[in-house]
Amino acid sequence: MKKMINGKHRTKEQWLELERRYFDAETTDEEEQELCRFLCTAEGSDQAFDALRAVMSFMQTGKQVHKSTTVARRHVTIRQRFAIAATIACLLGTSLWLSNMIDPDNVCVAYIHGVKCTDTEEVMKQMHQSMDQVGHDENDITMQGQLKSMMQTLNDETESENK
Amino acid sequence: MKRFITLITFLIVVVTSLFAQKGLAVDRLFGNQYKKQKNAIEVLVKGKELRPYKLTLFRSITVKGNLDELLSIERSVKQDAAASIDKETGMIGTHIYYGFYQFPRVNGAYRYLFFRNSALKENSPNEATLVYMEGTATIDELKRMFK
Repeated sequence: MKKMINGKHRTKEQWLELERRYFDAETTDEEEQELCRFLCTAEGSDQAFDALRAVMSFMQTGKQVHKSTTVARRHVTIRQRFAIAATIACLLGTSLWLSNMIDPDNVCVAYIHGVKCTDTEEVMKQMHQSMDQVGHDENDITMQGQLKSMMQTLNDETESENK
Repeated sequence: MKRFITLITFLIVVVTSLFAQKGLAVDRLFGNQYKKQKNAIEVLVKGKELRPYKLTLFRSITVKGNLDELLSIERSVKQDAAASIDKETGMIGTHIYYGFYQFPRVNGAYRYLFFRNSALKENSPNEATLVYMEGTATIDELKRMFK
């Protein structure tokens, strides 16, 4: 049970008792803070509290060092995450830009006898002409083409027989 | 770090697949030498202009030249013909006079290749035309549209 709130009202014996409890790990956070404040007073500079001062200083320094390392580590982690995110964004951006450069979504172009033409009407006309050219008349094949085919086959056979 | 490497690998795969070829032998003919040749016409249409035709890509080459040059195009067509799932051809001798080939769908799109070598026929221009198309249009729809 806490007897006093303000450290100034404790006697030396009570501070020593609190010190003992501190070393036995029985003090509360509040009491530890009280002890810490007490060590900064003239009364606390007594040689009887040297051991407490040394341990508390060490603990305090340790806490601060640990805290700053953790913060630094967290900063590094955040920085790394930013770097990774930036790298991914750059890669994605570059790949999208490249894909659009190499393979754009909308293209309408013709190269007519070595001259580039981007006039949509002209390009579409060329497209239809290409389709007209590949469209076939089956009669062509059945009449003329097949005859030529037969003649060529006969010629090939004659040539192989002569050999 | 492992996650980072995995991500980079994933991105490389994505980027590579973006630029991947369709795997046809005729691919090498488009967008190359015929663009600059005086005896050729090359057409490339993609995107909004093709929407009315239910197509996403149209490529064609019309080449006027000696028979050897035209037969080199035919060789590529013959190579691709082996991978077609449907075809219709007219032969003159051992050469393709006209050919229509349909290939397995890629990403839901039909792929068609048309070829006609007029140089094989007498009294016809010494030219060959190669057309490659991709889209959702069926062959019947294409026939109606380009009739």
